[in-house]
Amino acid sequence: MRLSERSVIRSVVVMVAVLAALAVPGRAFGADATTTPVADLLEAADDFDGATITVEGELVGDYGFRDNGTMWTQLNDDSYARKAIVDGGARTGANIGIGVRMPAELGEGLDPVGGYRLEGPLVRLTGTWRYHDPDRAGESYLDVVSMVVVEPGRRIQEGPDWTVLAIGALLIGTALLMRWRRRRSTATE
Amino acid sequence: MRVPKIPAFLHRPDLRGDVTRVGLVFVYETAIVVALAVVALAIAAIVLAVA
Amino acid sequence: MLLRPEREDLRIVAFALGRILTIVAVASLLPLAWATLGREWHPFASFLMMIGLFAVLGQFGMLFRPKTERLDWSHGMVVVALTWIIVPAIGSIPFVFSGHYGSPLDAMFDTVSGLTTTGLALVQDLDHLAPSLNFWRHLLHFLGGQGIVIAALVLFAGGGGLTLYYGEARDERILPSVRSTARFIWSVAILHLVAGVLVLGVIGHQFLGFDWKRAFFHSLMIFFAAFDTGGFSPQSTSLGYYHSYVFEFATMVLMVAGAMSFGTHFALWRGSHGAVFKNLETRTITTTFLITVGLTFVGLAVTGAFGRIAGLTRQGFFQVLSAHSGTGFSTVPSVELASWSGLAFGGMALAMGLGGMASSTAGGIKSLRVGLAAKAIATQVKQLLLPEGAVASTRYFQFGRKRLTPELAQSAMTVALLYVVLFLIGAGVAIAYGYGLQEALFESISAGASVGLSVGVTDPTMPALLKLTYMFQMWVGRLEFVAVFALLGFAYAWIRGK
Repeated sequence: MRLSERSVIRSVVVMVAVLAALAVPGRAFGADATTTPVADLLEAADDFDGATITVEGELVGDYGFRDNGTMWTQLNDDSYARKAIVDGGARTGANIGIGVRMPAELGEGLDPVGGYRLEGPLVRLTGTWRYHDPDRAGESYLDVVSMVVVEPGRRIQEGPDWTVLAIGALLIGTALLMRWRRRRSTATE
Repeated sequence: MRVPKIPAFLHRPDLRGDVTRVGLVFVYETAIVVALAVVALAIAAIVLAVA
Repeated sequence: MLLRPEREDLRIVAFALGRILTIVAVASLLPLAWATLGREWHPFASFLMMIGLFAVLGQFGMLFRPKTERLDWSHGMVVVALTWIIVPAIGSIPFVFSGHYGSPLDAMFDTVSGLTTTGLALVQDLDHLAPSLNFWRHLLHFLGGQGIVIAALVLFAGGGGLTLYYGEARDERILPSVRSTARFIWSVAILHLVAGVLVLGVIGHQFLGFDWKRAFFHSLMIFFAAFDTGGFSPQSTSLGYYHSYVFEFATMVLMVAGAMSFGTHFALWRGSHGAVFKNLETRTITTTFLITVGLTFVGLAVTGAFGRIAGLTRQGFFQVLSAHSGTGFSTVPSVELASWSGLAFGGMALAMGLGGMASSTAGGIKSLRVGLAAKAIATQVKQLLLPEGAVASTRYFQFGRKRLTPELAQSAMTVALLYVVLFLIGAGVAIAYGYGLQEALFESISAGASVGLSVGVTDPTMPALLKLTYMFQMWVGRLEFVAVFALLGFAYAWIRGK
């Protein structure tokens, strides 16, 4: 059977496009995948067991590269993933996060993980949700297969509150003065 | 109430005996958890077999 | 006739408070130092203000020079009750200024929770919180935990048969003086700190792949929360963050150490291991622990939450131990814990309510009381079954052969009942706001028994009155009612006495 030239060219173009997409790292290329909000995932964790899902959020805490070639970290899908409180973000309650495990190679070269004055990289992770995984004695986590970095991590500035500092210094001075005077009056008794 | 001094505590006449005793305390605490866990494992086995 | 407290009584209380607040001011230099080293200038400023306020109030209290510095029992109780109000109020200042709390009430809620070693939290965006502030949260566990153990031993009649009648069980002291008692508690804490932090730190680095700095940050925080059975954690996913049964195991050893009474530590230290296992308290808590494990396992197996032996054992055992020791660490999210219904809920609620050993940092009814109450009931039943004229034995073993007097039995059962009433009141308030029975009861027991496990009720959007209710429960539960009654009595006598 002879393939028409047009269909061959079309196939090659598609293949090249796919390869290009895979070859360009860290770009949200054609990522139209429906992401599952982590809050929804946690509400119905057992329903999602074994499903391939995509979550989006900030990586926080630590990058734990373990001896068995995996890396563990936490992904938070809350408003702080984009704007932490320290960065002037609104308060919207507690963090909403899940543990994620990925092959060590995938986790290499990432921006510093989220923490104090650090917005971690905003990523889109695709993988299998494992609920009460019997292979890991009942742990629940996302077994990541692929990652796309949506936004790089960034540092946040937070300066001191000079008014509070001044009040603090004043109070300590007062206390020391009170102590000195008290010591003096007991000494002269 | 005075905050107890640490240095005095470190000057122990029988340091070796103390170290052994302290080590034993940790061994005991660990053993308690292990023992309880083993019993829990047995309970789990029974429960899963029956349920 | 009610005697009005005299000026001298007020002076004694004020002076003692002044001393305590000064000590807290000095201890607060630790988070200040941490903020300095980490160049966390925003928290630094707020720590400075907090220290300043503690120091000024401390000096103010010490201006009242009483004729004698000796505290008698009722003074001590009033001091303890007031300390657990004043320290959280001022100690919440760094949290208020951090921006991570919805209101000063929320900030004080967490501070009360920290100091009472409960562990319920209203903090928002914990995963971006400054390390020095995280350290302060966990240090509160240590200060409150060690503080209450010392107070319990000095004031609550040595922890042996905690009675409402102070004179009753004050028969012997384990160590000859308050100073040596305090020194011993300090030694136990420091030794466990060194060993615990080292072990957890090495596990963090070797098994979990953390870098050394982070490994020891986590290990120090988890140590404070485990040994002082508090339950705060540096990350928002509690112990589940570590995804490591090795880490969980080490943490459990520390939780057990934290839930063990001072007397038990002392006995192990001295090598009299046999006595420990003969004790009524040890036997009681072992029994109740295994019963609650059984109940919880059955509940979980029935709902199908965990179907395999490894998962059921690891997760179930950890949660029940966390509940019974009053720690409050969780390896599963709150929303999942909320789905633990039926017998699993029963087992967990019972474990939380019964609590750890007396004179430890654990909360709840306490196993010594549970044992005494059970023994008292058993004795009564036996007495009914025996022929007329025969007398049932009222002896029990707790570091020596003791007699279960009617007063002792009565006080044990009274305090146990008071805890149950406290749990019901807290549940009632939540139910009035529309929360379900199971979650209301769970959260109330968690607060009143200083546990800290949450099924999601504790949340910044919670009604203010409910926050106040839990704070009240944490305070009363930590102080085992006695100190609260002493304070109320003191206040009442002040107003109404002659």
